[in-house]
Formats: sequence, C-alpha cells, structure tokens
Amino acid sequence: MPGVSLKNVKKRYGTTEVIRGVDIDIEPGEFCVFVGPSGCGKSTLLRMIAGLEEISDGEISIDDQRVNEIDPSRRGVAMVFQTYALYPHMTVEQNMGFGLRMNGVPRAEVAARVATAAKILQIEELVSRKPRQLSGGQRQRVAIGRAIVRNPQVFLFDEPLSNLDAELRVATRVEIAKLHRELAGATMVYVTHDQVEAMTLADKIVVLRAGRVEQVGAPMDLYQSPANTFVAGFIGSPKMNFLELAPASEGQHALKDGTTITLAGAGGEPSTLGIRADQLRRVAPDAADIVGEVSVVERLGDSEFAYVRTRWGQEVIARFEGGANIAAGEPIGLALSGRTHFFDRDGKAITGLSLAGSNQ
Amino acid sequence: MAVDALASAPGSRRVWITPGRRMWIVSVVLALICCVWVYPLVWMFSASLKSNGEIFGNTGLIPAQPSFDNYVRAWNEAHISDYFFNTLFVTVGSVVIVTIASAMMGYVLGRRRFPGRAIIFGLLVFTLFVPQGYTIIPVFELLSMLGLSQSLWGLVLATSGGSFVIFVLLFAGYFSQMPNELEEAAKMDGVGFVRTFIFVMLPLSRPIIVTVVVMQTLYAWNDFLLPLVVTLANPAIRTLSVGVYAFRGENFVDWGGMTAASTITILPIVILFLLLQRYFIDGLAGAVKG
Amino acid sequence: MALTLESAAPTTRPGLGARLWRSRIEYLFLLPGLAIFALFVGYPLVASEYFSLLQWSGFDADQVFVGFANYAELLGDGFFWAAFWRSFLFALGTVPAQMVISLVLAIVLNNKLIKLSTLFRTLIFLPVVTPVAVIGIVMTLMLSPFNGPVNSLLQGLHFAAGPIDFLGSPDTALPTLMAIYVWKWVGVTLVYWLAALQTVPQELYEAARLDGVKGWQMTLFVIMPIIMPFAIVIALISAIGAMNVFPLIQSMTQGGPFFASEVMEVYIFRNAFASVGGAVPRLGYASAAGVFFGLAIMALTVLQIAAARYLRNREASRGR
Repeated sequence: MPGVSLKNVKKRYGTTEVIRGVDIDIEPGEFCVFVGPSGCGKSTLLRMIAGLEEISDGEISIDDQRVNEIDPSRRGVAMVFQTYALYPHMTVEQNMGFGLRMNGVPRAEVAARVATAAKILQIEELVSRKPRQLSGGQRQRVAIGRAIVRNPQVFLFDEPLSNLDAELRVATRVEIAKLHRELAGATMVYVTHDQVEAMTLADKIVVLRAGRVEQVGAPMDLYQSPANTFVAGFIGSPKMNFLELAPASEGQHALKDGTTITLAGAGGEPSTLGIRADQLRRVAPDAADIVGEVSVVERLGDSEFAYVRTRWGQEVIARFEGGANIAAGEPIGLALSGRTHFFDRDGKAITGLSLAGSNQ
Repeated sequence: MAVDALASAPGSRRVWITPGRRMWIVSVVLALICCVWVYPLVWMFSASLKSNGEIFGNTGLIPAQPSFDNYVRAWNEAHISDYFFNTLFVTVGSVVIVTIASAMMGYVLGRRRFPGRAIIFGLLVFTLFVPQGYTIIPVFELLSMLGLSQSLWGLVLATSGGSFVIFVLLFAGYFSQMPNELEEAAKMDGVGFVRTFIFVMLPLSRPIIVTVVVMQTLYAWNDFLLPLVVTLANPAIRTLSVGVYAFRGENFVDWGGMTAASTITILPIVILFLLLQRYFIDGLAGAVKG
Repeated sequence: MALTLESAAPTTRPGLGARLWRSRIEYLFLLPGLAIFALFVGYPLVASEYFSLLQWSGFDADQVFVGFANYAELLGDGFFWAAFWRSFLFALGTVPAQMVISLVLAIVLNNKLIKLSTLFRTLIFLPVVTPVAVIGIVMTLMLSPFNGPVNSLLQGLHFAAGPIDFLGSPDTALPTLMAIYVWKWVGVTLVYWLAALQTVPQELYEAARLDGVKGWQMTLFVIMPIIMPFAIVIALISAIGAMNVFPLIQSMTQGGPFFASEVMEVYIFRNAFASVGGAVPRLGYASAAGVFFGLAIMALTVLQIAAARYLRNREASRGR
C-alpha cells in the first residue's frame, strides 16, 4: 500500500527559499490536508509531490520509492487542479480518457474505465458534453473523474473547491469525503487555505507557514492542543482569543488591566493566554476576569457571537447559545473557564499549565 | 441644472427630427456613400459581361446582352487560367508553411523558457519597425543563390516571409495567455511536449489559426512586387496580380478582357472575405489593441 | 501559485550546454520559423547594407566594392531627392485624410441604431481585400480620358469642358493616386478605429447621457479623449503603410508621367530591375537608396514613438 513521505524537502527560487525543510509522512489510505495562509508553500509542496515542481533538496518518496527524478505521469499520482484544467475542446469522455489514449491504452479499456469513473461520480449523462456546457460543480466532478480513470495510488487536490459558490462548496466537500471512503485505500493529499475544509475532511492535518511545518496531527488534536499561537489562531472559528499576560506575584499573572489570575502547574513562563470563544462564560462584572462593553453581536440562530471591547481596548469574541439576546452597548463580565492555552514568549505552547482559579 | 436643460431641449428644437428619424437619414446618406464607394468594383463586374463596343458606349451598368466571352478569352488566350493556378499554388503553399512555422514558433516563444528566448523576441520586435518594402533586392538575390529565382517554389518561400513576424507574435501572445494548468494536466497524464502541442494547444488556438490563414491568404493572393520581380524573366509562373498587370500592357484596348481577368482575380478573395469577415476584422483589430 | 512560470527555471543553474540540451525540443520547434525569419526578414536587412557598398549589375562576377560611392552619388541625384520627398509628401497627403474619414465613419457606424451598419462596414472594407493590381487596372480604365466613365460623367454634367487626363498629366497624377490610395485603405483604418471605440465602456455613454451630454459633445469630450492613445498607434501603422505604395503606383503610372509620381520604392525598382532604355541594372545603387530611405523612416518611427511616450507620460503625471 502506498504512502507518501517527504524528508527534509526544500524548494528554492534563485536565492529565496519557499520550502525550508519539510518532513511529512502520509500513511497509506490516509486523507491528508495541507492547510495554511496563502504564500505558505502548500501548493508548491503539492506540486512537488506531483512532479510539476523540481525538488531543490531533500527526498520525496511514494510507496517507499524515491520519486525525485521520476516523470509526473509515472509516479502513480493524479491531480485535480483548482481551475479544473479541463481541455475545452474535448467532451467529458475525451477529457477523462485523454491521458490513457495518449499512452496507448486500448480503446475498449479506456471506454470501460471512463464509464466506471462516470458511474462513481454520477455524471454518466454528461459524458458527451463539452466543459463549457457544464456547471462549476459538474466540471469539478469531471476533473475528479479524470483523476480516477488513471487509477492512481495517490490523489492530489489543489484547492479544488475554491472556485465554487458557498453552497456547492459544502455539498462537494461531502462528496469528496464519500469518495475517499468509496475508493478505499487511495491516499489523498488535499491543499486548502480554508481550515473548515481541513477540519471536516482530514485524517491528518499539516499546518504550514512560510515554508515550514507548524504542526501535524488529527483535526481534534490540533484544535485541542495547538503547538503554538499560529496554529491556535488558524484552526477553529472564530479565531482563538489571545490575552497578554505579565508576571505578577508568586504563581500569579496579570492581564493588561491588572486583573490577576492564578495558574497551576509548571513548564515555562507564559506570556500569552489563549481561550476560545465558547469557553468564556458570562458572569456578574464583579466576579469577572474580563470586563468590557459589547460592541457588535452576530446572531446566527443557534448561537450568538458577541464582540466585547475590554478595558484595555482589545476585542474579545465570546460565544453564547442562540436566544441569549446579548445587546450591543451593554456592559458585560466574562469569566475564563474550561480549556485554556498558554504560550511562552516565542508563541510555543506550554503544556503543563492550567488555570487554578482567579480572583478580583 | 442638467435636468432643466434636458427638459427644455425638445421644445427649443424642431420636433420632426426625432432620434429615430435622424438615424434613418444618416443611414440613407451612408448607403449613398457606400454605393459610390463600391461603384468601381460594380462597374468592373458589369464591364466584364459586356462587349468592348458596349463598354466604350457607356450604356449604364446593366449589360444589354450579358456574355461570358470576355471570361473565356481571358481564361484561355491570356493565360489567366495558368496564372490562377500559380496564385493558388503560391497562396496555399505559403499559408501551409507560415501557419505551421508561426504556430510552432509562437508556442515555444509564448509558453516555454529557454536560453535565447529574449534575444529572439527582441529581434522579432525590432524588425517590426523596419519597412520591408525595401528589402526586395536581397530577397531576389537570395532566391537566385538558392536557384529559386525563377520558380514558384521560390515565390512560395519568399511570400512566407511577408507578415511572418506579426503572425508569430499573434500566436505567442495567444499562447502565453493560456492557463498553465492545461499543460500541467497533460504532463500529469503523461502526454509529451509534441503531443500536447498537437492535441491540446493547436485545437485551442483555432481562432488565431483561422486569422493567420486568412491574413496570409490575403497577403499572398494580393502580393505584387515580389511576384513581379520573380516573374520578370519567367512569364509562365506569373501570379494573377502580375498577370492582369501584364495583360494591360499587352492588350490595352481590350477592356472587356481586362475587367474579366480582374473579376477572376478578386472573386476568390472577396468570397473568402465575405465568409470569414470576422477573422479579417479581428486579425487587424488585434494589431491596434496589442 | 503565482510562481509557476518560473517552474522550469533550475534552482542551481547548470552549465549553458546542459541548459541548451535540455531545451532541444524547443529549439527544434523554433527551427522552421527561424529559418524563414533569418532568410526573408533578417538576411535582407543585413544584406542591403552590404549591397549598398557595391557597384553591381546583378551578376555575381562583376560585384565591385566601391565603399560609400553610391551614397555620395545619391546625395547629388535629383531624381533620388525628388522621389525621397515625394514619398513623404504622399504620406502627408494621405494619412490625415485616411484617418479623419475613417474616424468619422467609425463613429457613425459604431452607433447600433444605424440600419445595416455591418453591411456598410463590409462594403467600405471591400477595396482593402481587392488586389492592388486589379485596382490599378480598374481605376485606370475608369479614369481614362478616352471613354472612361468618370470623364463621361463629368462632361455629361458639364463639370469639365474636355476629358481630364487624371493619370497622364504631371499635375494631377500624384493627387489622383493619393485619392485612390485613401479609398483603398480607409477600410483598414476604419476597423482600427472601431476596435478602439469598442474599448469605451457602455456605461460611460449611459452616464454621459444622464448628464445631458448631446451627440457631438459626447463625441468630442467623452469618446475622443479615450481613443486618443489609439490615434498614435493608428497614425504610425498608417504612415508605415503609406511608404509601401509600390504596387498601386507601378500598376497605374509606373512613376510617370515624367517621374511625377515616382516615389522611393518605384525609384528603387526602376534602378534595380527596370532601368529605362535598357540601361544596366544598378543593384548596389538601388540598395543604397533603400538603406538611406529605410533609415530615414526608422528615425521617424522612433521619433513618433518617443513623442507618443512623452505625451502619455505627461498625461499620466497630470492625472496624478
């Protein structure tokens, strides 16, 4: 069974290094998502696996075979492009079978494989149409179909949903998840800048920033134990709140307005406290860790997000159940509770610390 | 206020010139201009169906007894038939050469990176600004050296050079705008350079191919100086342009024959133009926008 | 990603030889095109210069290197200078007329309310696709002083007492040729202008209409400023075109009568291929004339482009 492994992979354009030594192991059959802000190198990395970009340094292997020097078409990979890259002058059928035909696969077999793929994707009635006669979602399916007929060991997806409208994006996301189950055993590598796609699809998420891996792990591991402030801020919506901490008296740390909190455990000197919106509780102002004024409320029906302006001018987001009816302009007190995260001066997570309690 | 001006405008003007009527008047004036504009060509066609006596009588556009005698005479006796096929040969030959060569060159220049690309590009653009009508002597000399100075093949080759640079740049511009993904998808499919060009890129560049074919056809069919020079010593390989020119020198009182030969000359190109007008226009318009 | 264009560029540059070898398919693709380019565009440009230094009648054997003697002779040749200036006169006489007539037609035809505007454009374009040799013949016949339809009409309407020999008289030959030239090529300039007008966004017309701008004001203050940058390009293309008038003149007057319509190209052709009265062809001398004139045109082109740049920059800096 094939897996993909990257060892100290680097990519340079002239003197600028865009991939700065990346190690990733993708297990056979795994759905792995590369996620990160634009310019982090995730697409470059994918294109290096595909063979569309040269590898400046390091080694990429597929199924324990070094592929650095192997032609893209012989790596056992297939790619679904962001813009679909369908040949406009060919029908769906011709698009899907083009690579096979060009490589001398007998006509009957090409037809059979195209038919199978069309059936999986439920596009059988579209096979004689040209791409311009298809909707965005249908083109997306054809692009995936073109990958399927090649019977690859590894599927590569380069932001495949970013050209679809919001509704279709959700539907297609589900389709891709189903497809992964259906093509049992196929390894999939998927690039996106959307952390929701990463969370919902991935077995394993690789968070990248500026050409480096920030953290690798299962979606919930990343959500619950981010390794640093970058991952903590990138994964999860709304963004995690970060509060600056200053050392106060023994075992105590002060927020910006002087409110002190007590921490238990050890492991380092925290300079930032991270807390997600759903872990803030509304309390009476005199019992609160954070006191502020609600500036904006977003009501989503099942939940409400309140943007609270603290005394020191920072905006903190808190989540409430739908119907809580928080009003803009209202003064509010919030208590830190549940899971909190602590980060040192360099933004690295300190795992041994937890909230002991708070006063005043 | 603008609103007041608008409201008062109709009252201050004579009301019978409504915008609709004005467009009708302009259209009629234009129609008259166009009639005068194409009159020489209409007159030519009309004269080609008349006897010489009737032409000199200036009896109006409609021939009393239309006949194809002039055409038969021009086609057979004045060798217009030979000239016609010579022209066809030169046109088709140069179109084939130019289209293939410029598409290949444009593709490589537009899409690939390789040492020397910038230099070639620079040379091409530089020659755009050099008038080419003044290079006839070296071209003729070159054909002589190649032993082609009195052959249709020489004419085919030299005619290919005429607008070649513009066509290459047209192709290069078009190919460079194509998304990278198409080529990459082909690469992932294991389709090589040459087959990607033939099966993916060429079919996609059909509009440019048609434009180039059409423009080169126009150029080759109408070219005059080059065929004139090449055929000076070998009248048998004259093209139509040179043929009708020579016709006048030899039979300058045979207006019927001349107009018939002229009509034969322009008919194919005019039909082509009417059928593929869009590509003529687009090809030309591209020059300004570029 | 945005970096894909660079994807072929190696990160650590291998030697030139390796890079050349890696691009061998590219060079193979370039080969036919480069051959055509080198033979029929590049070589003539270089060779003309060399030929212009020769005394040469067309046979390889009697090439004699004479240095700049041809150029020296040119400078003293009255026929050369006459043809030289006549070429510019021809451009000056035709380009403005061609541009103005076609601009007016373009603005009118660009109006979609005009009935049959596509048909009109087609008709006006018809002379463009007509071979010049044919135009030469038809126009010679039409303007013939002996029973030509134009003279018949003029005399019938009593505009002229006797037949006018448009092409046979030194006074009228060049202006007549200019008029025919404009007639033939207005269609092309018209298409250029129409393309330029297409770049004016429809919203702009609508906005101007709501502002109460009337037809001629619209043309003058809204459309013209937008299409002006195109005017320079169109003028440049038209001016270069007006230097390539050999077919028209050769097929109608051969430069006559009495050299009255001999422009530069005709002068070169006459000296190189068709010397009067069986004189020896002078390919070297004709080449010198070609090079001299070619350089003059190039200088003018460069000047024109520089002027356009300057105007555009001034425009841009004023905009800021």
